[in-house]
Amino acid sequence: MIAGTNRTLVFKARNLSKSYRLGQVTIPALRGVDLDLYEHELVVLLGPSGSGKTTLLNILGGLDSADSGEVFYRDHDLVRASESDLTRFRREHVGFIFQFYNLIPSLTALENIRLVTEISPSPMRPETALDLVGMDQLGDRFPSQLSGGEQQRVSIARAISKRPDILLCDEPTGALDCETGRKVLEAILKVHRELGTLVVIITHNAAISGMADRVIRIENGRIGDVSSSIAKVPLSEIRW
Amino acid sequence: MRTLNLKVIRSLLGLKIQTTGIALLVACGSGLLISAWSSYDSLRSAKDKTYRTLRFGEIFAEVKSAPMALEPRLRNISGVNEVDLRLVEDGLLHLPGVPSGRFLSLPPTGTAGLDRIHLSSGDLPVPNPVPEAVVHQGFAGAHGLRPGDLLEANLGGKRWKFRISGIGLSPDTVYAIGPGAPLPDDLRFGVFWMPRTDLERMSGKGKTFRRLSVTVSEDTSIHRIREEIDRLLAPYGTAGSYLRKDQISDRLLENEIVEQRTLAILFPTVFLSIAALQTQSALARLIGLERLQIATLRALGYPHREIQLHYLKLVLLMVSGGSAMGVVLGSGVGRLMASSYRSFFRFPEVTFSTGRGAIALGIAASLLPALFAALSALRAVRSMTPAEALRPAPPPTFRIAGIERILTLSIRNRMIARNLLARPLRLIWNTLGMACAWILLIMSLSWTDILSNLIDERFRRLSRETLSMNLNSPARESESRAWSRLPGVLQWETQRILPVKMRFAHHSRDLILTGVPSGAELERYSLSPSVVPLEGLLLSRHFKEAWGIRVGDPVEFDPLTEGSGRFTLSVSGFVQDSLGLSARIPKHLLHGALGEESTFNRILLRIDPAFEEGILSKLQNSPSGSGILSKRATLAGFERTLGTLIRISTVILVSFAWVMTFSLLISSLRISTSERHREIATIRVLGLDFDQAFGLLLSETGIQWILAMPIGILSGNLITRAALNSMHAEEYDFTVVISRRTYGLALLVIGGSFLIGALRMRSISKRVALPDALKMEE
Repeated sequence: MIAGTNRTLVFKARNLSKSYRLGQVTIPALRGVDLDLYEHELVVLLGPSGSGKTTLLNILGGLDSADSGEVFYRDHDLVRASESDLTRFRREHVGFIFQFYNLIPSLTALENIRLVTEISPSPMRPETALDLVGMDQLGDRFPSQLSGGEQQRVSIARAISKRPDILLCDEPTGALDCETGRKVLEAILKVHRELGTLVVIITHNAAISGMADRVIRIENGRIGDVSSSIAKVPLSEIRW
Repeated sequence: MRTLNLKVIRSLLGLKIQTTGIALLVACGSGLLISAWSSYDSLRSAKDKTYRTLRFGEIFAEVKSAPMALEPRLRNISGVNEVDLRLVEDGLLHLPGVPSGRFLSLPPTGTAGLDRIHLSSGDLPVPNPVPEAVVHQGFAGAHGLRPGDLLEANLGGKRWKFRISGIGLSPDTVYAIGPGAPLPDDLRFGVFWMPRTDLERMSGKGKTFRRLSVTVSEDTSIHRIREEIDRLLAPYGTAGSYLRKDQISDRLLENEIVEQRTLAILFPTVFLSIAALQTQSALARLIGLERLQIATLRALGYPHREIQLHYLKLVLLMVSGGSAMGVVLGSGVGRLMASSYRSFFRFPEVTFSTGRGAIALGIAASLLPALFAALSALRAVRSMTPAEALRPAPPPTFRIAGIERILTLSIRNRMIARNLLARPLRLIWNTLGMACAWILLIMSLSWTDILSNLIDERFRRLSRETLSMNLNSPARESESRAWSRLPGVLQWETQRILPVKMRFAHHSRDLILTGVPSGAELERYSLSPSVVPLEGLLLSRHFKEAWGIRVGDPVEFDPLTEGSGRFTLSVSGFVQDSLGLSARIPKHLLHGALGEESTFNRILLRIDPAFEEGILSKLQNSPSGSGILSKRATLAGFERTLGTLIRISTVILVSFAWVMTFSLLISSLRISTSERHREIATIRVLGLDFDQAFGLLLSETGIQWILAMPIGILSGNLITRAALNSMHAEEYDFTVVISRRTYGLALLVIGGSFLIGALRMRSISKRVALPDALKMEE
């Protein structure tokens, strides 16, 4: 594990375990994970498919609960939080970016963002959020009228529009080609830099590690190698 | 929450087919309830209004003949408000069929007294050298009479000419029924009203009365008043006073109205329950399809309560659109039903108004199941963590289907079998839903079967005569042979009929006691070979069920028109009479009871159709005959009145059932298609063409429809029988039959709807581009 620094701790997870039942089989997803995440970090959780990274991200974002262990967001205990506490936590602090965008198909790009800004305590203007991801011209389009990359950028705009403390990205480029994926990562990076948000990206794509402050490897539900980047690779040089 | 509201509207527009399907289901269910209940309400208020405005009496009595001088004593009975005494004279009319007429006197001022006349055309009669009369509108309609027409009648032993001044009816003759007749017969019996002075002159009866009608003040003892009336009338030959509920027209009317009420409850209950179940199942599946969107909303920080509210709004809009359509549809159809009542029930006025209670019930019955469906579907999503809901639903546990061990199935057929068997609950639920379509169609279509069976049984297989004629007075049996010698007569039979008041315990009822000769063939009383033989008194089984009479019980008979005294007969059995109530006895036993020789006063003839006209005119010119009737005319009258009413109801019910079947089918197919877009696309990627892939889905739905067929037929049959058997009224004891034609039509409607729905879904599914379908969540 990374040693403590004087940066502010945002997430603290200890001995986190979680398993799923699939029919008659129990599949352990996390087996005693310890993890600390700090303010203003950009962390990449790297691991092959089925390694437990999405489960970890879901628990950090309050979308799922652990079977045992503990997770704290600052001083909030997420394991013992009630459903309404978790809802408030997600609403006020977390922005999600999903692999398949999860935009509401019946709402335009701008309306998808309004869906969030209407319930957030201190949101930015939806137009500003779209502008941040370079989509300000396409706000009145429905998801079905946008390309995959454009949809993902709308999804980023939706996630950041609440000015979240944490941006959790689940394979944000997983469904995209390299060039489009780069544009998406650029948007995430821009948000990270301009808003100072803690960004956690999970991916099985090692090429993305180059942009991270820290790369945490997950294998078989356990934290493996953790490495800190001293010199980050510019996005333009990242290829896959 | 404005954006979420926007989503409601957009979702609604995006789910056009499903929304339309659900809205139509709801509209039909609530529409039928609203129309049936409101038209029943209108009927009931029309009856109340008619009785009130025409001042229908509350206690009645008939006497052989009593002096008008009794009036002050009757009026002085404490608690009696108004007394109305009428002279009544029966006579024969010189019209085709020689129908009999009942002539009633009117009070000095035609518009005074009780049981007043409502004129539909013409004027009240005034005393005149050529007497004037108002004729009952049913009789006028059956014989095509108009004000100004001159008629002739035999009254008081003389032939009289009189002019029709108007056409109308009174509250006691909404149904005009001849003495002891089972059902109204406008061809054979009519009522006429004349100024008293004219009727006294024509009948030669002077200042007497035969019929009494009184109203009483509230909070008086009816029982005491009746006792007083009976005491005063006793010396003048009375069968006793009776209440309005025992008055023949009221009783028949009340029976009809109660039957309408049963219909107004029965059919809408079944239709609405099915609509509610189907709405619930469709909505639950729809919300299931929204699983990913619900999970996304939760991930974005929307609390469950708001998501719940969002979907409740969606469901409410879907359903309330249907409810609103139901109210409009219900009022329209109700109006149509009420107008068909107008010709059948003959009330002066049937004002249709949509009942508020019916609307409230219709709306509640459609909204509540929908809300319940939405909440239970949302509860299922809530029980998952957002992370779980964000993942595609895990596939069901597939197994090798049992059928695969017996039959060698192709890969595609294996997929169909395993898909169906992997979700047994869904299979059962869908199959039951589809079976509901059968129930709706069988229940609605069976009405025409019942009607055709009734006609066939009553008018073809039981009554096999061509013509019948009543004699004015009994004749010796030997005289009947003259009729048999007429050219064209193939078979003939005589009967001895006697209008009576039948009494058992506290029950009493006017009917005709028929003396049937042994070995009678022209008028049978049962088609079943196992029925009790005619060796004693046989009664309609209604008396067994409603009066509690048992075999061997003594029943008392009071002749209504002939001078002979009261006699008692013991019951030997019961028979099912589909139309009207009857009492039958071997002819010789009736002669014995009356202490007379072998006589007859009714003759039945089966004749060669080529001779029908000739024989009919001979009968009409016979001085001794009256009430001549050809069965063809009776059947036509029956078809015109009850037949029309049943046909209108059937058309309405079948239309509702058809729309419901169609919407049930189309929404279920549409949802199945959405649920399986991705799978169909995957199969296409593997190399099957679109129709082969879509065929898989269609085969699954098709198999469910085939499974639903026997369940639907069986349950449709059971429910229809149970429902219709529960609505037996006194006058109708019909057999519930469901013909092959009904099953065939139901199959046609269901098959046709399936075909249209499948074609529509095919074109929708085909429009989705393959890559898009592949990306769709299941």
